[in-house]
Amino acid sequence: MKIFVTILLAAGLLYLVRRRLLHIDLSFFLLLAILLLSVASLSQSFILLAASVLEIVYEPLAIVLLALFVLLCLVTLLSVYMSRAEQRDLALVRRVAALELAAQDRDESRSLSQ
Amino acid sequence: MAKICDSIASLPGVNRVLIVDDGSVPPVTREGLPVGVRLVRLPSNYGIGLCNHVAIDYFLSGRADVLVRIDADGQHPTHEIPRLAEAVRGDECDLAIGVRTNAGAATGIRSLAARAVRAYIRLIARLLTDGRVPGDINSGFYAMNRSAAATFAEWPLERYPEPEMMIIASLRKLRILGVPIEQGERLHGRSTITVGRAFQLLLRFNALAINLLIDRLR
Repeated sequence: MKIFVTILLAAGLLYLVRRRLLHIDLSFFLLLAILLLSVASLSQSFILLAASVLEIVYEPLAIVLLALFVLLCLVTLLSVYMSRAEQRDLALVRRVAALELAAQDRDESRSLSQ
Repeated sequence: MAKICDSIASLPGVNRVLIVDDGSVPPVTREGLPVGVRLVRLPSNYGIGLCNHVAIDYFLSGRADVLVRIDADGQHPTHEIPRLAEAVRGDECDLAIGVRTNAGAATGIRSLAARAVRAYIRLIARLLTDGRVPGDINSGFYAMNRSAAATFAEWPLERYPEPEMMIIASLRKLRILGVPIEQGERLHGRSTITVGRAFQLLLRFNALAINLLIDRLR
């Protein structure tokens, strides 16, 4: 069942990329997260190892914490992408405003010369 | 808006009036505006930082020697524009700030909180710049020359950028002069600084302060 869910999630991700609803660069990290969580949930020895390294007394909690960590990483990554997109947006608006004002200047000098 | 534009356009030495409409609802229209006024409307509300950038870019693309920035809500006295512009044109300073002598006169919890935030920002700014910033670093009424504009053009200005502009100007050794002015009543609109935005502003200011402190310690 776990393998089926993993494949289903990966297929969903690929579908979104194919339909261009999700950018390929972003999908890479989501795919990575799915793979990591799949490995973690499929391998009991991995959970035990993670619990002992992180000194977690109740071992199953390790996978919950790992999932939260992955989620936090993804949210941070998305925030970085959003910040970059916002910077590009601002630069574009600034450029468009400059062009619009230059056009207004041109229109005025044209009407004055006529 | 037309009244403010008229009063500015009729001042001696004013070469151009530019209105940057930051996605206001309803939008600013050309109706009633004096001929020659430049109007640019941003597609959405981006904040004062981007509006400043638009004005600074336009100023640097032309040949004017002074840029004066003023709010359009009637709070800034337009008759003081020549005084600020002259201070810059006369090479007394690179940046002339309209220091509000009656700022903080209002009472109420919101005003008290705003005053406390302003006092904190001023204190940190003075510490960072060894006291070189003017008394009112939140003032949005200022005049600058091309050298100051070139400095700000490179700096990514955000919402409510005034304190960081003053700090950057001071750290870049621009000459700053405080010109006392009396702020008027807001004729229309309301402050966009909500409680949430005030926290955002404080967070950003503190991040800037820490960044500058790290730069200084290096």
